[in-house]
Amino acid sequence: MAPDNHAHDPGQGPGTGPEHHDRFVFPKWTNWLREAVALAALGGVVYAVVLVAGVFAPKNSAIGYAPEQPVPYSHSLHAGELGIDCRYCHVTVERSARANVPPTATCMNCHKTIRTTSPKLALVRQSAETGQPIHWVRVHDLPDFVYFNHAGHVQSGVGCVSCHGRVDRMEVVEQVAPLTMAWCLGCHRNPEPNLRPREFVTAMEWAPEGDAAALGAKLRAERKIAPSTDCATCHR
Amino acid sequence: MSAYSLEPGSGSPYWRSLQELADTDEYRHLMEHEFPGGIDAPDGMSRRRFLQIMSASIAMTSLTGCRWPVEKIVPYAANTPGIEPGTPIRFATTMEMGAAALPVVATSYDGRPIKIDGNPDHPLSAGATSVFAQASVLDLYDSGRSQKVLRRGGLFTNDTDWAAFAAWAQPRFAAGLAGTAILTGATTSPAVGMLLKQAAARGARIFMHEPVCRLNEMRGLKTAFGTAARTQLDLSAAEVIVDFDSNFLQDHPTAVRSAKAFAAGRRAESGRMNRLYSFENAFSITGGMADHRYPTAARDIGPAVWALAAELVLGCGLQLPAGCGVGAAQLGAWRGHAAGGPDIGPIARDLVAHRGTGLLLAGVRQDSDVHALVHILNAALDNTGRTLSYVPFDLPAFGLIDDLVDALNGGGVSTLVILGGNPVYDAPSDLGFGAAFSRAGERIHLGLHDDATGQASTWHLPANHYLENWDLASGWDGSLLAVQPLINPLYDSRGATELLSLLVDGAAPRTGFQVARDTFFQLGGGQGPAPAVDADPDFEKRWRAFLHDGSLAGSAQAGVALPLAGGALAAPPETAPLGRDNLELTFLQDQSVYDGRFADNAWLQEMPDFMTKLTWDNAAVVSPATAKELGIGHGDLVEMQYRGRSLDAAVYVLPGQARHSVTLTLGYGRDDAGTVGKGAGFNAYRLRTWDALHRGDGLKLRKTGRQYKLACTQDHFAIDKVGAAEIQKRVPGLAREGTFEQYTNEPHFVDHLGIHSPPLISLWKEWEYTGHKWGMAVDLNTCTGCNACVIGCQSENNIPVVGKDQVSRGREMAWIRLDRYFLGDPEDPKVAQQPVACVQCEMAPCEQVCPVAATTHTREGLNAMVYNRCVGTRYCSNNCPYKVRRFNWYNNFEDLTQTQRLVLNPDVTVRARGVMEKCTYCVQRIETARIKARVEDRSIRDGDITPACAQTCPTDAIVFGDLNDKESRVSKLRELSRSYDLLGYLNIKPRTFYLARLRNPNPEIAGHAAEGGHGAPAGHRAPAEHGTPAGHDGGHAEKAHG
Repeated sequence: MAPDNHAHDPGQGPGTGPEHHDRFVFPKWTNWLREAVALAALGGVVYAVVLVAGVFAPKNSAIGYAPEQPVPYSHSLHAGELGIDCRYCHVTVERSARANVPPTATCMNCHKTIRTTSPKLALVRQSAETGQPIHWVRVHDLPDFVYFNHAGHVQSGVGCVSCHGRVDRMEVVEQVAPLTMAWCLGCHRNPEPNLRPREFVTAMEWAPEGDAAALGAKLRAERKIAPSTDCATCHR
Repeated sequence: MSAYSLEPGSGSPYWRSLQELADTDEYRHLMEHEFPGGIDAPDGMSRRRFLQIMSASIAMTSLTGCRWPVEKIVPYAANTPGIEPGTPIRFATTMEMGAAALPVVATSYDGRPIKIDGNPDHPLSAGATSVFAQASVLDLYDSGRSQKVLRRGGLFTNDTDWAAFAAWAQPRFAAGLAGTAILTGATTSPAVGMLLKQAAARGARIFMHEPVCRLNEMRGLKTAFGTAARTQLDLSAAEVIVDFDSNFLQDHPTAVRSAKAFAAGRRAESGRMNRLYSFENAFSITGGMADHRYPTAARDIGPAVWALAAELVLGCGLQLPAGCGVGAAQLGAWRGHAAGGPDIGPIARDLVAHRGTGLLLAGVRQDSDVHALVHILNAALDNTGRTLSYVPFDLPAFGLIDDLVDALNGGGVSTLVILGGNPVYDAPSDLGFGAAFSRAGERIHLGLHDDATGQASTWHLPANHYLENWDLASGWDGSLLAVQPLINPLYDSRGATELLSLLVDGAAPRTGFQVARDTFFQLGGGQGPAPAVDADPDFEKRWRAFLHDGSLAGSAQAGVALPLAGGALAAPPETAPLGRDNLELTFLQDQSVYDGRFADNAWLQEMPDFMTKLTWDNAAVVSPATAKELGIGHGDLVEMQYRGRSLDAAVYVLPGQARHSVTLTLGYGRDDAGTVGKGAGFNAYRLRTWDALHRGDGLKLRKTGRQYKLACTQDHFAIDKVGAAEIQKRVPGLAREGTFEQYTNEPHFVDHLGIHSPPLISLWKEWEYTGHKWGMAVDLNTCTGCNACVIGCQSENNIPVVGKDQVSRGREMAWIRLDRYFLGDPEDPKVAQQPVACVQCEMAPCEQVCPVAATTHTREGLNAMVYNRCVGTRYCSNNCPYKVRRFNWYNNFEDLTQTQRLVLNPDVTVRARGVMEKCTYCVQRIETARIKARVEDRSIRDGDITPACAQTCPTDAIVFGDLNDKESRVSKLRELSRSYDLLGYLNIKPRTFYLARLRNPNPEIAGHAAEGGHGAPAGHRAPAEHGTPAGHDGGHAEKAHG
């Protein structure tokens, strides 16, 4: 290390003469470092691009996640074709944090008389007989440090479709929204496009008549909707 | 060390511990270091190596997938009306401890009880709980609970089950119960009572044992009134209370109700305030609240009562009721007795001046005749029927444990059944219970733990926790209470009623449910078994209402004034004077482990005692003067020599302890406890004898020369700087107090107690709060320091327990710290209690320094802590002037079993290692209330949100609400002139504010006190800075803000 009293004088360019003998000069053989550093920088950029692309790829943000369920239950048949309201099964969605998957007994309300021998329903019948629950695979899975509440959203007039997509057209339920914090905040900052009259919350096909923006603003004012973007709203 | 050389008039009235007063090296270390425990390097690894491994593991994890493990949703198979997964439901039940039954409401989350609160519909609780009730839920999931029926014989212990026990027991007891003895605790259950009666009818002999018993009180009542009774206190009507060692705010079976009523009588804004005199040898919560406290050896308290009686009768002309068993002649010798002290005259005159609104109380350590005298005095002063009344009851004619030992030694007991309890550990040591016990051929022990008694038994049967059990209970007011299970028994356990049913019902033993239902039916006038479920709609309706409410409506008995029976009273005997070679030893129930039954409860073990601030231990408590006299100091291990017995115990020098009186709490030193309680503290039962259950003379302390490490939190997270001058300046501004008189004459006196500052200007743009603005009031005038909030918070917020070693490094995690300051003379100090949690500053210093925005401000003014962002720099804690942030040095939940995890509140994140945490104002409850209001289409109302601390507070000292709502309770409290901000001069605008404590000294005594002794009013009134009594110049200063 060079002593302090040979501090570089800004008026003198480097390499102005051999009088700076005690000055440190990189030896020639180190020149390959320059190329190596440039290569590493380039590699870093590529790495960053790949990493960012990977993290935000729809596959990894869980959009399209559609695990196979133990019972091949079709939302497109029940909610779509047959037009059963979401709340017939997800009964607690309006008053509880969780929408809840129904007990087997709910399935058997109909299926004790309809399609009583269907092999697809074997597990449901078995569950009803034995009392052993069905192990459904969770599709929409938030991190454990996030506290989402269905009731608060549904009562504010956020439609099911806003987060879950057209479930009524899904043979197998899949995730359509990224469910990332940025995505949540998007709506919390500007909720109006996702507000609808409360009676249409479960309506999959509903679209605002007339001026959508005006309706959103009206609903927001009526219900005093002021979504919070405080951390403590979801993280506690 | 010259620890307690506080010069009179040195102008340093406030201090926190003797260590601080003496400014020891240890204290300096704790003061000068933000994290006195130091930084732990990972075991056997340098920082460099650690970083290498960490970077390698980060590289590896990035190779694995981005999706976390698959989660399953498992709904019920059948319909479950009333149960919604994810929605907590609440059930009324009852927690029984000793002879006290407390109605509670248990919260169940997806089928597992996680929180105990008071039952707001029953006056015995009125929504509040004791610290034991708060902590009791942890016992349910204790991994040390016994899980299997054990059959012990010879050298072998066999795991078996209840069916095997029933198969063994039924033929054995089919013919009758001759030769069988049953030992029960002081149960209040009518169901157990009826079964015991039936067992007695079948030939069994019944005995009762309760280590913390109220026998003296009951005997005293019998002397006075000829019947046992449950004394009902109405403290809200009492204006002058003289407490003789009863600690009615904590140790009485109605302590929760009494604390609430006592607090109601201390709200100065109502224009009146009660006055409390307290005679006690060891500092209790009641003594801490007293306006005049007299440290008196327990054996001198009886004479003090006689001195008071003499003063009342001979000095004030009080007429004792005719035929009361005490004559004026008998009292003559007691007038002016030294035990009463110089203030007994003014106390007597105060009582006479408040005829009908006074109240005298005596505690369990006092002889029965002292109790009788106190009841006579209450009657003579017309207090009976106003401030206290009686619910007479028949004391069951059970033998006591000494009778049982005689029976065992006499060979008349072939089978002994123990219904709960641990007598091998906690029976008086001179009875030789352990040896006598083994004389019974078959010893059947029903208990939560396979403890010393279980291990000495031939059958150990796991007992139900009360949250798994069906039973009934009787409240102290006689009301019938329900004990109903919230969860199926986790293990192969049964309740006491089921075991008894096996003994008395022959071939058809009943379930606990049936026994409870049948007994309820029979108490309602029915004969025989209760109707089958849903068979009788009327009965079903009554039964269900009973279970819903947790009590039978209208079953509480009204207290009455009993006629005096005139039993003759004996005056306290003459005794040899106390001195260094003849110390007094008193046994007290412990604030953490009670009689030892909570030894495995980690929350309670780590809870600092309200006065000693000790965790994980008890200690022999001595006064500073006694310690000096004996040449012993804090933490010295001494040999306690007492009546031919000896025990090594650590010394704790506590200001305010009576001279020559040593206190050792019960319940520690359990070798038979589980992993939590094993080896903690010193076993007082080894010194306890049958003839002196509560106190005795003849104790000697001998130095052993060894030291014992006590984990004491009193100097942790200290707010102020070292130095008496600083303390003197600051503490009066932290825990502010004055007198009732001062407050009446000069309502703004509180504003002059803090540090004066120029007008405060903020360096930053101040926040605006347009919506809610949450705030909290803490009334120091009613806070007793009972710790219920501390445990309530721990239970609600998943606060970990860190163990003795970590506590001694200053790493305890409790979000609420109860600051306790002493004031005045170390031999007779006053105390100030102050609960401090995060005060949610508006201009929060913590938020300014977090490099990763893990602590942020919400629009309603909370300092939100975002755990998943926190990287553990601890800058926030460094910058926090209140020292209320807690850091997770370890992954404190890592080692919990699946069962132990069941107690966790799913609404609160479990924090990992390296994360900072602190009070959140129970933000989960705020959000729940917000969503509930949204569902019900309304705005949040005052009272919708109650943080766990405020909910459990027996004295309603904590009030939470919206400061932007001018009508809210908290806003009204903010308006009071005795409200103030802690460290307000820092201009950080804390949202939690305090209401100054007021003392209400007797003016006749206050003058005397100023010269010495109980010098509070004069001593604290004037911080030296001011030089004149604070509050003399009206209203020149405004509050720091607000």
